[in-house]
Amino acid sequence: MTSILELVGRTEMMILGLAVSLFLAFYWLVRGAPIGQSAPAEPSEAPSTGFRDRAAAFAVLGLILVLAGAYVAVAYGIPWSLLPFGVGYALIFRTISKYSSYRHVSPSLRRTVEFAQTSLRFTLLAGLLLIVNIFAFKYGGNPIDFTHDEAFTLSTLSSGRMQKLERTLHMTLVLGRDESARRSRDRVRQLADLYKRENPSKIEIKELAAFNPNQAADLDDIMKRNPDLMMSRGDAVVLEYGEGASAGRSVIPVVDLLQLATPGAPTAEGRLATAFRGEDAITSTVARFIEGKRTIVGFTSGHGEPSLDQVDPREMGLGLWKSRLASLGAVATDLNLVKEGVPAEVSLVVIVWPKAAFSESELEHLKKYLASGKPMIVVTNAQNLGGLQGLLAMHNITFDAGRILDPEWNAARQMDQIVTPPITIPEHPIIAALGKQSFLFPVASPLSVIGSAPLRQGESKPQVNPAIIAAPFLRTSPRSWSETKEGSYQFDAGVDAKGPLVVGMAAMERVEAINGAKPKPRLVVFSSPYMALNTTLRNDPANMDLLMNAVEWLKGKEESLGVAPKVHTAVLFTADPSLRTKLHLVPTIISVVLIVGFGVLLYLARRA
Amino acid sequence: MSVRHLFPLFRRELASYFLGPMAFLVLLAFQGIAWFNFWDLLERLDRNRATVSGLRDPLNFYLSGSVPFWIALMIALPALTMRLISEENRSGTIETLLTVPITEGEVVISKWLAGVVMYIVMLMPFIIYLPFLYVQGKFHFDIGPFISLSIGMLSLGLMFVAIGLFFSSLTRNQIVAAIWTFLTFFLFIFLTEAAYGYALAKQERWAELMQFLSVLNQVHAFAIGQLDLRILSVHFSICALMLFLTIKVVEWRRA
Repeated sequence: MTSILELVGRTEMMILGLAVSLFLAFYWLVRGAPIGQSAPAEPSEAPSTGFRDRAAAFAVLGLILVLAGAYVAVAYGIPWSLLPFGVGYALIFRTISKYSSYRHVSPSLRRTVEFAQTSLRFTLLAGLLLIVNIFAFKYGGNPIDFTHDEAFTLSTLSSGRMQKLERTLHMTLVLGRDESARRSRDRVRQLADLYKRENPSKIEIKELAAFNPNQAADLDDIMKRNPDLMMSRGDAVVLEYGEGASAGRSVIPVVDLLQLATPGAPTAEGRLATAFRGEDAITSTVARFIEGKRTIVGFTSGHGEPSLDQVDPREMGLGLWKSRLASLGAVATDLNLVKEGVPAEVSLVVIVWPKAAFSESELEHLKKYLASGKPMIVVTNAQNLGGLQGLLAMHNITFDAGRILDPEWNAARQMDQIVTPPITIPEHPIIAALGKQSFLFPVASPLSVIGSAPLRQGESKPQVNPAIIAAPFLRTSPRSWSETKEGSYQFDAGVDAKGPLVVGMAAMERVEAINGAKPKPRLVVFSSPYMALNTTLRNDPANMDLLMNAVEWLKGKEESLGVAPKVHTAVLFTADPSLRTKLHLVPTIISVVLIVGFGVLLYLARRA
Repeated sequence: MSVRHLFPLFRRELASYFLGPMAFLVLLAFQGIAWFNFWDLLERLDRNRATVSGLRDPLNFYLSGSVPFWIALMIALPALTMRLISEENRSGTIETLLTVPITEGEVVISKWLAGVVMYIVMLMPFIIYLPFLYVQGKFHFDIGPFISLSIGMLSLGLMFVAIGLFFSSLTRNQIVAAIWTFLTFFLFIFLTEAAYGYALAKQERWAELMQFLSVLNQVHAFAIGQLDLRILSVHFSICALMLFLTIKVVEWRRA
């Protein structure tokens, strides 16, 4: 009994039952009587009853076989469906061609032919629509993005990453109570949907509300798996790659993802730009999951460097950069070189604003570290070199005297708070992905490549390291200059160097141009001690992208270079009451006059 | 199917709309709603709140988020399509029409095209404000989402008019045709949205399906600048199916 029920309950059996039922119903409709009853009588010149019944059966069977073919095509594939389609259409065509000549003498044959013709048209239309829909659903899964800021488009980098997922990526949006995070909640949801579309079978999205008691157990579980979640203010995106102990996990606080793209209030034209870097954060984290290892970044300490633990955006610490590194899977740690050298697990050393000089032994440790082929970032200016000149000279980079002033490209109308003009043709991978963004470089000094300047009279040829290529990648505006006189804000021709001046430089190992070998990145120098501080990053979030791209480039992963943040420019509507009234009334009056006028005109024309 | 008689038939149908006061009254009613919508839009824009993405931009809700617009559409479209065939069935003019050498397909397509043109004309009062806002109000909004919304609303109109025409072909009574059309629109517009809300709250698996089927969600997606080809494909498929069925019904009645 159970086996019979199981047999009957199978999908194929149910389809078969449906097909038989449809056959009986249509046969009744076309023949004019159900099976077992005699068909209505027809004129004497009409063909025999058996002939008419066979015609009806062929027509109905043809339709049923075509419908069965459609089911087989969807369930088992197109090759399997060719046989039922072929036989079904053959029966329909045969019915139309063979029995059309009898349609004037036999009402039931006329009905049969009309049924066959309708079946043919209907199935052809349905087939066409099915093909169109299959194409639309298969290839049109990603909607076409009509927005100016490409809000609904993932970068090819993110898209490629999602296609390569081997394990399931669980993306959980944990909703908190923080108001600022709530503002960007829509964007996070929308971003999660975009990721899901790229690989629906490998990406799962879930939402948990911290204030919903029904979800308390789920929230508890996710917090146990991701303790960092407790530290996050407001909303957070929890990424879990795979399951169990081997899963990669990361918590990205949403509040860090949305910032003003341009410092200050809306512009005079009523525009306010906001930058959303959610895609960069998620894609980079997923990249780290796929790589399966964490990068340790050592920040030197003990020379007056800003604190890594200072997370207050109003204070001059490095906490924001540290937090960003952590959200992308890197660990930022203090590095004390007094007692021992750079630990082997540190893969990148960062020196930010050393106010005191490094000791000889510390410099030896750093040289030994660099000699091992590992990279370094230096963020300082000519006044705070900390004795690093020799180390920089090894990479053919030197700081020139003075501080850079710019009367045009600056922030808050302070000439030493220079802003780099947008780069229209990015020449270096560090800035290539950042679009036409500007970066804030307060109290910067000019950088130059050793040996690039023409020799002055009496000067000896500087020593150049032939194994290293130094390349500038960030410059100030042509109106800037390097002010060498303390307290002066006037350009002195012949004394001060005229802009554009270099404020960002990268050094890499020279390699022979054989076997497609790429130069190995060694050092990046930013010539402003303030550019990486919390206070600056709060005012110009683009600096964070610049720093992160420098980190990725030095790691030798150009494919991991950050995704440019999505900048949304909100246009604010500013209209005085008079303009508002005009905007209301003028189109309304025009429209009403047109409608009424056209109506009256038509009425008069008809009367005439 | 021949298309030789399509244009004269289409002209006849379109003229029949405008030869009576009905179309003008509907247009004036839509003008009133458009004015109210625009006034509401200016109020929202005037709050001077900067959005952090296009998702909450008040302009995106100009049509898709307007309850009066949807209610008016649900009433006006059945009112405009109900008479297309049922009136001819009732008065018997369909018999005269079909005795001349034209096909049922030409009759149905011409009536459908006239209905679509009338639908587009009904949307015009909503569009007329936007150039003024852009040029006179110096509010330089993103035009891309309006293009996708226009395409989406057109495909929706093609489907809705075809549905109305189908119900009009089924009966001789215009009111019955209008009620069936209204109920179908209600299902497409509000019931799918309600079902989506319910499924979302209960975290049901079919929430995604309901979100896809909900016309309000579809139009909102168009309004924020996402043109989903799957939605267009579904609209065109339903439209084609409805027109095919309408032709069959007219053929059946003729037989």
